[in-house]
Amino acid sequence: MEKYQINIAKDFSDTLGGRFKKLGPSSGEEFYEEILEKKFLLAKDKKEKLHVYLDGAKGYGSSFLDESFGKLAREYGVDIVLETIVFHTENFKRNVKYIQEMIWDINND
Amino acid sequence: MKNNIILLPKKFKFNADQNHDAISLISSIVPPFEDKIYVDFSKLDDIEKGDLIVLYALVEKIKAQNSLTRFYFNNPRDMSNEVKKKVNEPIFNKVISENFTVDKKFTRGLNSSELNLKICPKIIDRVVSELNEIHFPEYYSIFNELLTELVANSVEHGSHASQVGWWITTKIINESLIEYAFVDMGGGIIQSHKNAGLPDNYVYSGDSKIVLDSMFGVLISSTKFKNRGQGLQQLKYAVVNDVISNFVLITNTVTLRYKNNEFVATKNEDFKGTYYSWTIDLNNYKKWKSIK
Repeated sequence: MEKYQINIAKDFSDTLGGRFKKLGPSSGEEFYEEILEKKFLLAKDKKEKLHVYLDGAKGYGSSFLDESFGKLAREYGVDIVLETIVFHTENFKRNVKYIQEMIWDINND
Repeated sequence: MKNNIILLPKKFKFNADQNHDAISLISSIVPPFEDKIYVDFSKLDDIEKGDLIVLYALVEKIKAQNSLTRFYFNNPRDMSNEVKKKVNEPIFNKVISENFTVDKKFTRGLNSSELNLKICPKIIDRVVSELNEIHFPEYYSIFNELLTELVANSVEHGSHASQVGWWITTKIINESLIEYAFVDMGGGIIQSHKNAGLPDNYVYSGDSKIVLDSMFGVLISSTKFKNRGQGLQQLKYAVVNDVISNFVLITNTVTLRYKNNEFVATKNEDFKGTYYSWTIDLNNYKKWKSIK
């Protein structure tokens, strides 16, 4: 059983915003502060995985992804984030690839 | 603009191949703005919503600089029938966009706090959902992402500095295609970069290089943060992968189109803002499914 999980559409919002809270609701900044960082730290401290479910949302803008998943990696280091987070999606595989390659800068060679 | 008269040319079309007259008019309208401005439609054949919003966005910018400005139209009998149907003098004098203006069909039922947001995800969702009208089999999430980024770019770099909002309008054509126009008169992409300070290697390059390098990720965001500036790259991805079609970008002195699988930049007078136009139909959806 997955002890730590986030279903973004159900736990946060299915219509996501931009980067910063000051620009509008459901921003990457809000998601990071309210949900992502807290759950990541819980999972990390217990050496467990954090399962992140992406399906059900209307879309994931690059600013949202950078201010949430990007910030997480900038704050705690890509290696530990990679060890901890597991993405689950049928519809947003491209976005996961974007996070990994463009935001976390993982070299797939 | 001469003697406070905005004389619209015969053809006032921004996404046409020949958009020189339209851009030239916009570039000629510079401060200081008087309390009375006359808009002469007598030479204009017709005007589309996507071009009318550029005028509205300009009116908004003028009012931001002189709130007392009132607009007066020429006599309706001197306008073509097509123009008469579409332009409305009271609306010109009421135009004030708090943060954005969209067709009323996208704002129905929203409360005032939602309408006061800079980025309203519900409105973006409604614009995307309109694709149901042309029988899209599923929600076009990539378009949701693109539109969110265009709006974000506008509010962060364009609108806020100039106290103007962003504008979008859509037109369904033959129940099979939707044409979009998006504009903000917040200064323009090139000007944003120049204001922020360009790297030395751009000192002698033309403005086209600034736009193209922004889209291709060579020139980082005008915020100078390396993790920023992905919005235009997302736009580039959408254009080259046929997620959207008939793409036109006008910003400052550059018009950029995508033709025969390459970006073609042409020079123009300073538009002093940013305008995008594109279309979406089922072929775009099919292409997206094949690359998803």
